[in-house]
Amino acid sequence: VNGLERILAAVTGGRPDLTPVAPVLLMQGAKVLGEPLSTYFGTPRRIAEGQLALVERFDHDAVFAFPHVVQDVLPWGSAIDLHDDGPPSVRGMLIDDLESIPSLTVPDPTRHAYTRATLEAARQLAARVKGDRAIVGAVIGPFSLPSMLMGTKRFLALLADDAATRERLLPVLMAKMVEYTTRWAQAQLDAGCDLVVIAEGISSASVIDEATFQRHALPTLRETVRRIRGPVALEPVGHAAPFLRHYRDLGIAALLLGEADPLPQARRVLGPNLALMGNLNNLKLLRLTPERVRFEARRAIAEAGPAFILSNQGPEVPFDVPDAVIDALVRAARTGAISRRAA
Amino acid sequence: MTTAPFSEPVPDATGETIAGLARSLHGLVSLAADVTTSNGALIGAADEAVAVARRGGLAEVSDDMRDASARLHANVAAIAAAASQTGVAVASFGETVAASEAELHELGERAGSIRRTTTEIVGISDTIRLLALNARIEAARAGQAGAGFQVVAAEVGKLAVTTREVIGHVTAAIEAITVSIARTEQRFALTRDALEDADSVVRTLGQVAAATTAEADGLVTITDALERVAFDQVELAEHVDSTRFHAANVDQAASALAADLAATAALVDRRWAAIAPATRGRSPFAPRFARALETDSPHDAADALADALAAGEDPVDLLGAVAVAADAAWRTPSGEPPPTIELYRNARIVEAALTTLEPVVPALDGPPIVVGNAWQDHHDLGRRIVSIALRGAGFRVVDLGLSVSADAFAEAAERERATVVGVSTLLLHTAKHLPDVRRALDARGLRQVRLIAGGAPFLVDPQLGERYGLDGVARDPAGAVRLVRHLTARRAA
Repeated sequence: VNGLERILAAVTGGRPDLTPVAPVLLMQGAKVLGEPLSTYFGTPRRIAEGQLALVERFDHDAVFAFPHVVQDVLPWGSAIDLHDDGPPSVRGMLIDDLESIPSLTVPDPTRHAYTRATLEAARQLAARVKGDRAIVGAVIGPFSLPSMLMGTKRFLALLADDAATRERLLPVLMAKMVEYTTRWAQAQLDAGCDLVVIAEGISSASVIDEATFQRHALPTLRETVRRIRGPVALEPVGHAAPFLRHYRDLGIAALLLGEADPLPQARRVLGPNLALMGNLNNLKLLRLTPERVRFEARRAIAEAGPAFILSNQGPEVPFDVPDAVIDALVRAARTGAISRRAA
Repeated sequence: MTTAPFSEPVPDATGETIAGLARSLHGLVSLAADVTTSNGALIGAADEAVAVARRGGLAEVSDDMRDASARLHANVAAIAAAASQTGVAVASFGETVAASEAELHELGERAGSIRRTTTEIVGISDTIRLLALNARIEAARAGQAGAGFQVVAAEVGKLAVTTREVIGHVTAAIEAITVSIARTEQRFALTRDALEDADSVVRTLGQVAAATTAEADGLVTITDALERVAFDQVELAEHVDSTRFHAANVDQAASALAADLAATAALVDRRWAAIAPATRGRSPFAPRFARALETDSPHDAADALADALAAGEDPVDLLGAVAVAADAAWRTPSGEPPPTIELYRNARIVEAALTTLEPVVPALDGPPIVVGNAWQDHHDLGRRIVSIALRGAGFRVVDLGLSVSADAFAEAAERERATVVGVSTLLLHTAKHLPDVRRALDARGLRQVRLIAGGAPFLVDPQLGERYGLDGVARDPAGAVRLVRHLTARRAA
């Protein structure tokens, strides 16, 4: 049984031989190649080499075919800044006036050389590990992309301020976001990805209330998932527990949860078959010992049941997390679940 | 309780005193609310801890392990004893086999001796038969005189033949015995090999038993350690129980304090409402503004403020009312941060009110707070909301904006004589610059200036604050106000 088979078993309601494990290792690719982050992120083709080296090093079950989701703004005409001490950031906002939304043209996601290079990285990974490890792509979700294009404050203003403006512009904006997100996700699946993660920070309960989620975010997410031909995982980068019941019938293959979202509660609400991913606190990995990480991982495995992919909460494992900690996380999945005495 | 209205106009100084007292009381009410909320969370955590601690398990596990190690010891001892006995038996059997082999070897030699004797007998028999034949020839030549001798010679010849036949049977029997002895010797050789193998196995078994005994001894040591941990767990459970008990007492006291303060604040409000018309006229601003926040109605809030100002109300009082309403709006019953969109809704209403009021109130004399985003951090929503909350709470906020360098923070803190520097950061890699701010402050001799931070990384792991050498982290606007009040109060003390 290989990594892909384990992950497929988890997302299709089967019983993997061992819990699949997929720590979100992005910046570690630069570390393992001994390359500065800015250079690494500046050449997405290096992603394939970095990911293959990471699999060689840690023997986990998935590779990630994208450098970072910030790249999603590039085809729109936005720029990004590369840093040596962290992931890239968006340089300036594309939309500075809500009234420009109707005239916004949805770009071809592959029109930028950077995103084309990302797809090439996916193809290279597919040539090397297709059928052996799960190849994972990622897009910024349609309800979160606006905050990258216009800023969170302006997007919240659109959601919260003038109702007439919202009713007039939000559907137009959402249609464009869905169009872009689905095309970009599909391009990654077509390039060889087995699964695409939709990173959705703004639609989490940390940012919006339930009424806003139901009225505006949920239909957008549902339409996006419906239009993508392939397995989709949803990552509410933030608190997910208050909206769990809404994720149940969304059509997603997996839901990536954080430490603040209890796995037993998620399992209870979502039933036994929807795959859960997570939920180790990525920032705590900076300070926890390998022994403690192994314990936390095994507890998560015991709580989540078979349809589970052991991973960290979003967005990724920080650069400074020691290799021994990542090793402990992976090894925990290879040694089965701990038994828990009845309370 | 009813409040008797004052019949005489209240001097302005008294009115201001009462208004100030009312603001202080409302501040105390919000602090008491903080205590009860935090204590509620403490009780929740203590309940969880009590449940976990009472679940125990370690004591049972250590007992199980002790039983298991005792059984293991006994089993290993039995195996070692059996191995030893088997070794003795194998050795004894080996000696028996060796003696039997020796006797068998002697038997073979005796058979060879018999075979040599029979060969000699066969030779004697052949000689006798030849002599008998010659005797018969000589007897025949002797004629009648040799007739009797011929009979004897014939009988001697028959005896020689019979002797040879008998010796043949004996020789065949001896050969069969020799073959049997050879086969038996081969079987003894196989038995000897098997005995050597058995001896080796028994020796190995003995060694394994000895090693397992050592492991079992190690298991006992582990069990002892586990038992000590189990004892600690039990002790911890008792401490948690005690903490839970005291937390409940604090909760009762805090609830009573909050209720008393709220009642007192309400009393002062009513008194003030009663005497205010005598001086400046009563205003419905506070409830209207609070309701506008509750219902997310920016226009209602703006109208309420405009009406109050038009009615000639003191902007200082109005600012106090805004602070009270805002303070309530930042909070959630659970103490968890509200969704960002709710903070945004409240912040824009509060900010609009502050923008109207601040130009017309006397300069705030509260301790200045310097805020800004961390270096390379361009996410201003959180910083703006917290700034509004701090301003609403009466602090003078010096907002440095986005992506502020460590030295710019320190320079502003020095210039403004700030007591607290607050840094907002959305990303981990921008939070990494926080120690630079501390170093920059220290380099200017501003060790007394407290450094705090807020933002997504600190929501995910509040202990990051320790990693970056901070004096505190805030998870939401209410937490920021509480933390700054705490730090400035300590500074003042």
